[in-house]
Amino acid sequence: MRALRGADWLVRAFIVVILVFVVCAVFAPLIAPYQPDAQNIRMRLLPPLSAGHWLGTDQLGRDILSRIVFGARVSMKIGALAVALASFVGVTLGLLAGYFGKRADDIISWLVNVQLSVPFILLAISVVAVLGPSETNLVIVLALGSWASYARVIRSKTLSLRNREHIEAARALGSRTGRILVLHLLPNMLSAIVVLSSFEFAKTVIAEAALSFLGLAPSSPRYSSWGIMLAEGKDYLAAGWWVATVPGLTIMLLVLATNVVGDWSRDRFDPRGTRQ
Amino acid sequence: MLIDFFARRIVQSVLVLLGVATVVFGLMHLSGDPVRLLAPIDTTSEELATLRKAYGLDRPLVVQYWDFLTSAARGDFGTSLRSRQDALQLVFERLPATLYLSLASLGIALLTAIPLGVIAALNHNTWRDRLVMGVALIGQSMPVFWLGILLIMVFAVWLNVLPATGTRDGWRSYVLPAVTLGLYSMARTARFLRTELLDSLGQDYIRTAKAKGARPARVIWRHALRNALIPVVTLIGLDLAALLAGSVITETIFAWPGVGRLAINAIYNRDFPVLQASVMVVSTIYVVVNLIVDLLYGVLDPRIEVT
Repeated sequence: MRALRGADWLVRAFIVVILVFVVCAVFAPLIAPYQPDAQNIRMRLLPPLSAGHWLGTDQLGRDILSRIVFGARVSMKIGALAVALASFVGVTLGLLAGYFGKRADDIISWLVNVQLSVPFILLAISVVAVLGPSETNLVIVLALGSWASYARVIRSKTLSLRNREHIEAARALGSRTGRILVLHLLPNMLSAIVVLSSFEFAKTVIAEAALSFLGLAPSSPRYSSWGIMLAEGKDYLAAGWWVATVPGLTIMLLVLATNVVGDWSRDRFDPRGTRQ
Repeated sequence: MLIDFFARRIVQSVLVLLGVATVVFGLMHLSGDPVRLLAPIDTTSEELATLRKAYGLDRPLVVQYWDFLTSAARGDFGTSLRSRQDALQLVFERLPATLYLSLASLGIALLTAIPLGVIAALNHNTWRDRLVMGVALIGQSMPVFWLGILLIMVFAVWLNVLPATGTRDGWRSYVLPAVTLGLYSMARTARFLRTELLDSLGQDYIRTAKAKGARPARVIWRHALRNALIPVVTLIGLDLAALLAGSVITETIFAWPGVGRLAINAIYNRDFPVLQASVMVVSTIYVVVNLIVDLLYGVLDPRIEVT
């Protein structure tokens, strides 16, 4: 709680919002009143605040609240895994490029530039279309869209730290390179990594929803993604505005909360900034 | 020194494009056997073998790669598997629609972002500042596809004042897609401009201008804003490139006949030559715009370093 000192009520409120999403994701089966794929044609397109269906039902009579709760599970899980994978790869490459410089830096910086020059959404769609839309492939593709940001930030941080006294001292004492990277450089970058991860998580949640929206989600009915809900709701804008609006607002709320908390934590922990 | 910087950046850009071409080539071979992607599912194995020969896919991978690179350098990506037209030609036909949409978005973004950024900076820490920054933060957190649907729902379905899809209604067709595509840039530019302006308002030359008795409006527009806009301009250059690349989803939602939708349809139709040509063209524009912005910056700001 001490870390929260100085956070205004808005930041605190958004931290609570994120915690609610986490709780929904972890305890989805206990919280959701219905199964996310349970259809009931006689109860189709009920507006929000209907008895038994707080957020209404969709075109197949599925409970929207339940689908949102289970959708949190998909978004948070895929987002977290993708960010974890991306940060591992990006931080490793960033450390290597910054520490060794020369050829290693040339190659890694080139990879970063190539990655940033390919329109991500087209790359993601192509890869998913070729490899097939499984959860694993989705995580890999989303990590592909995010590792370059880590590599870039960590590379420049490493460059600025590499010749500091404590690193030189470790080198002079004969520490192995791996030890220097992990024990002496990495701890100095944890706050930057945490701050960057909050922004990357927000980006990944949007990207996952975008891919689902474009029809590239795993096709199992158990995979209830907010992007799929939005895509389905798009065809019922006149008959039931809430079918698209509820998942749309949900995605926005999670992304907004993550961005606000990210902004705040950057000002608090990494004031010199990791992002424009 | 400057020549050195120019040469380095140009070589760097060419190398990046070579990398992009490799990714584009690799995409098709990612699945192992590209013929299966090209052919209908019920094709017999003899037919597959014939196709493999016809597309030259039976040759060693290195030969195919070299062939792809040299053809791509000449602008030859083959013909569309659907329409039998030249793939690059198809992309160029669709490019103006994407270009106009991106420019319209950028225009809307700037026309709103600059006044908003100025208002926020001049009213630093008041309710006006907080309101503008709050709206900008929401704008930055709004996924493009949700914003597009929201605008269609309100302005096309409920109010019925603007067309939801296509390009048939002149400028009215542009409003919803351009706002959808531009909101993120608007929000980002407004926030960035506010920061830069606050920074520039605290500088000595502003105090000097004020001390000389310049009117407040003149201090803001001529002295503070001018200096704050320089970094913003580089962001705009990058923004235009990002808009070009990011119009994929917007074009899909609004049935806009641009490169993005062409590429998406090419993916669904497994029309690889068209997909490869679209990705190459969009990436090339991105790389070239970035190069130009960098070179301009190198000319404008001699302190720039080669990184």
